[in-house]
Amino acid sequence: MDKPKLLIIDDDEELCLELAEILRQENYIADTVFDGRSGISRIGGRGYSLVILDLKMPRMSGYDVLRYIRAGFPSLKVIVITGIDLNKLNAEMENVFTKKAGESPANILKRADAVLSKPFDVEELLNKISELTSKCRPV
Amino acid sequence: MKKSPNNIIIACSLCILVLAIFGFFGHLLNFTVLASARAAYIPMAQSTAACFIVLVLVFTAYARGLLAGYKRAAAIFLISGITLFGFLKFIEYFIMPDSSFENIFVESKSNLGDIPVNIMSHMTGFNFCLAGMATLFILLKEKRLKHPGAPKNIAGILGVIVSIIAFTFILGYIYGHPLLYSSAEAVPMAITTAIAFLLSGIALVSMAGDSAVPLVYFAGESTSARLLRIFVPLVVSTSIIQSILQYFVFVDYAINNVMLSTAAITVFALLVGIIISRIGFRMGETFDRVMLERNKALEDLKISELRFREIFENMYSGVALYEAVDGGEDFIFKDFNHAAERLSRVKREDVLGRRVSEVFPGVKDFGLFRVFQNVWRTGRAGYLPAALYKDQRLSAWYENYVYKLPCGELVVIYTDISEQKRRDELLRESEAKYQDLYDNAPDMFASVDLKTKNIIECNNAFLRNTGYSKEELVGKSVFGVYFDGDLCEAKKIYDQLLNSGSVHNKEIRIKRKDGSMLDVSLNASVVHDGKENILYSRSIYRDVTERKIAEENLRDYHEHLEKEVRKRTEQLSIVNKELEIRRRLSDIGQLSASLAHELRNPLGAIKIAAYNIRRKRQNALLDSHLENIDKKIAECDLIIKNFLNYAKLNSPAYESTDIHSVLEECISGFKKKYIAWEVDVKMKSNCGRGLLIEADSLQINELFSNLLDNAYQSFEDKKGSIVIELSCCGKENRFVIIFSDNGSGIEEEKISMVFEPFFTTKVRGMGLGLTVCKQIVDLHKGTINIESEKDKGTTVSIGLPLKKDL
Repeated sequence: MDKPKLLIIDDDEELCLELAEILRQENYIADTVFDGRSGISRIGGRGYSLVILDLKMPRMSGYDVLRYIRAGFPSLKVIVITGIDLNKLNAEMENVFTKKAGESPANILKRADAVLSKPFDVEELLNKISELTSKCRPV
Repeated sequence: MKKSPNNIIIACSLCILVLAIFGFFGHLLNFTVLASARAAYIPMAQSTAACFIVLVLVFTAYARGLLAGYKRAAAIFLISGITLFGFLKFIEYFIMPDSSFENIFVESKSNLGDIPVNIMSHMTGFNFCLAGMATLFILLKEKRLKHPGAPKNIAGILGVIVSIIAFTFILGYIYGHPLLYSSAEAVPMAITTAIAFLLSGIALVSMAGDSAVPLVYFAGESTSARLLRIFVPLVVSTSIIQSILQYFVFVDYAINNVMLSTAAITVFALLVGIIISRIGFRMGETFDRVMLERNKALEDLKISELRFREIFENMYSGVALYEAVDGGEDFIFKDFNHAAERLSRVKREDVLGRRVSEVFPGVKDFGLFRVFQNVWRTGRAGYLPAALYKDQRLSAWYENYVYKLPCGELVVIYTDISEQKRRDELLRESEAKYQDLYDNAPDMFASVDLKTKNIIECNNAFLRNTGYSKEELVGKSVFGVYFDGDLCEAKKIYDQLLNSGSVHNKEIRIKRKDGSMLDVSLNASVVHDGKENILYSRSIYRDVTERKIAEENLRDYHEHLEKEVRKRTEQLSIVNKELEIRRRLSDIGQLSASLAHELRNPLGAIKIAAYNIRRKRQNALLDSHLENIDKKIAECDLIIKNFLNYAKLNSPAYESTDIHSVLEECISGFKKKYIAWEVDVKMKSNCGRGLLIEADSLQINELFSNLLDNAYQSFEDKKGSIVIELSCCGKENRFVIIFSDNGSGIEEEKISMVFEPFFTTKVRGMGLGLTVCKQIVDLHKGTINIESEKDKGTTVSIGLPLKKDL
């Protein structure tokens, strides 16, 4: 079986690079992009099994990316990593991010396969990734 | 007038008496010339003299008014005898001319020529008959007769006839040819008898009086009487004078009788002419004057009539004239003025001649009819005071005054006083209304005589409120009703009233009859007469007991309100403070959200980077540094978490929470975290395990974590003990959890500030831990309390409801 192919979408370049290195060490193929728009342009036809997605990003937010993925690639696994306080998601996000679709951020977020709060425990993330990639097929 | 005829009668009677006595005694003394005047003449008979004496006695008695009772009867009897005697003597001449029944009484002793002396002449008898009848007529009681004046008239006429007969005989003597002397069959009348008869006739005429024939024609001021008074004596005296001249004065001269008569008539005519012209002049003047006066009087009468008619017609009062009919059983309208037409609403022509009971059917009920009858009967004026007249046509109040005119007619003057009555009624009603207002007004009214200080009058409210009776107040001093302690104040008010004329809203207390007090407010003003004199006061007392109570209540209420306001103000300031805090928190919330995100991203990157370093390390000495990095990352994360929690706390998301397990999870977390510290954590509970409460488990976790963190932080030398007590009060549906430590404690003066944000006693930390705790407890409607003593330790007690809505 091929190495699972992962895409990290986060505007924090250092985080992306550090995480990609860890994932590559863990025997994954990890690509990184630093904004939402670049993210969705990479998805599709490249065999990604899982996307690690930040929410607050330039050009296109993680919510929109998530909605895009769920609309076009339902089988693609998504792990959201975010510095936003999840308890206060609804109130905060409404103010900060788009609400074009009339869908609350919390509801969008429910479509993610896992959500981790920054700074997250790396072991926890790795466990989640292995768990998710083991039962999915790449898109 | 009465006196002089009597004097004439008496004078005539005396003369007759003298003649009669001469005649009577002349025969007795055989000196008959006394009875005959001349020897050639026949003397008066003794029977004639006796008859004359009787006659004059009756005349004199009549003239002196002595004839009454038996005297009158005797006089009638005697006169009747004379009359009968005279009558017999007269008819004797025709029946038996040769003898005389007189011889029975008196004998004829001698003869004068062929004529027997001392025998009454038949003409004398006739005259006696007439004179006697005349006297009898005079003596008749006239009142019983149908024509009371007739006997006197007859007597007068008879008297005149007697005089004329006597005068005729006297004239015969005067002319020297005495009557009947030539006849042998008849006895002539003596001259003295004739004179006596003439006097008798005059006396009879006098006795008949000037209201009877013939004197009635001479008496009075009428022209005819005047003319008669002048002409009768003139004619008589003229004819006598002419006779005397012809037969005595010029008898010796051979004067033609015709010439003498002519001369005499000429003189007479001249005299008459002069007299008539004088009389005519006088009479004409009188007549003209009388006519003038009469015309003037008529004019005056007309004006007067007009004036009174105008007054009558234009009087304001109604006037009606009535004539009684059926002997006062009803009254007929004789006149009716305009006012009466107006007042009674009838036309004059409709009532004139009609009966009052017919025109005004209600007159008897009205009471006026009785007054009419009284006035008509007694002639005294009557008055019917105001009364209501009512019939089918009219209904009004009238006042009537009734009186009787001399002619017997009744006059009624009346006025319609309905309007006045109505006004009186209105006035009375108005007065009654004001009296009622006074008597039944809710306020207490009293009038006080300001000189004597006595109560003159007071109303029912006064009596009711004070409990006194009217008798107990009226006439008594007004100071008697005031409460004894207020007398000074009362005197002051009284003086002020006298000086300024009024007082307003003076509060004073009245002593009720039962001794209790009544709080009143007094308003009073003085009443003046037209001048400066004060008459009495109008005093109005208002019961202010209720108001006083209300004021008392108001004051209490006011105090209560102030207290309440103070309390509320305090609460408000607390709320304000909290609000201020919240506002600050809200700002902090905004800040912290973005701050947290901005910090967590790099922290996340650092953490991953540290992970990479650990994996790549060859030197084991790096491990401790990497651990420190992880620790600091965790600290930073806690700071951010608290910071966020503090700002972001929302209404709890209630769920059934096992309080024991949450607590134990926290404790084990802290034991791991502070693994190197020597801290003994004990947990006591009187509640059974698995106690479920309705709460936000995350917030409760946060609450316990903060409290435990504080407790650990208070152990400056990294050792100590924490006791957690959990107790349930099932009845109150609450549970209490107490965290006690024996750490450094908090200074007393700082205790009150521990719940404020950013307050901290620790060297490190933001000072939000307890603030978050309090917020969580408040959100769960619980209580939090902290006690602490410096260097001894701190105890935090938290009470929470078991269920959401309790």
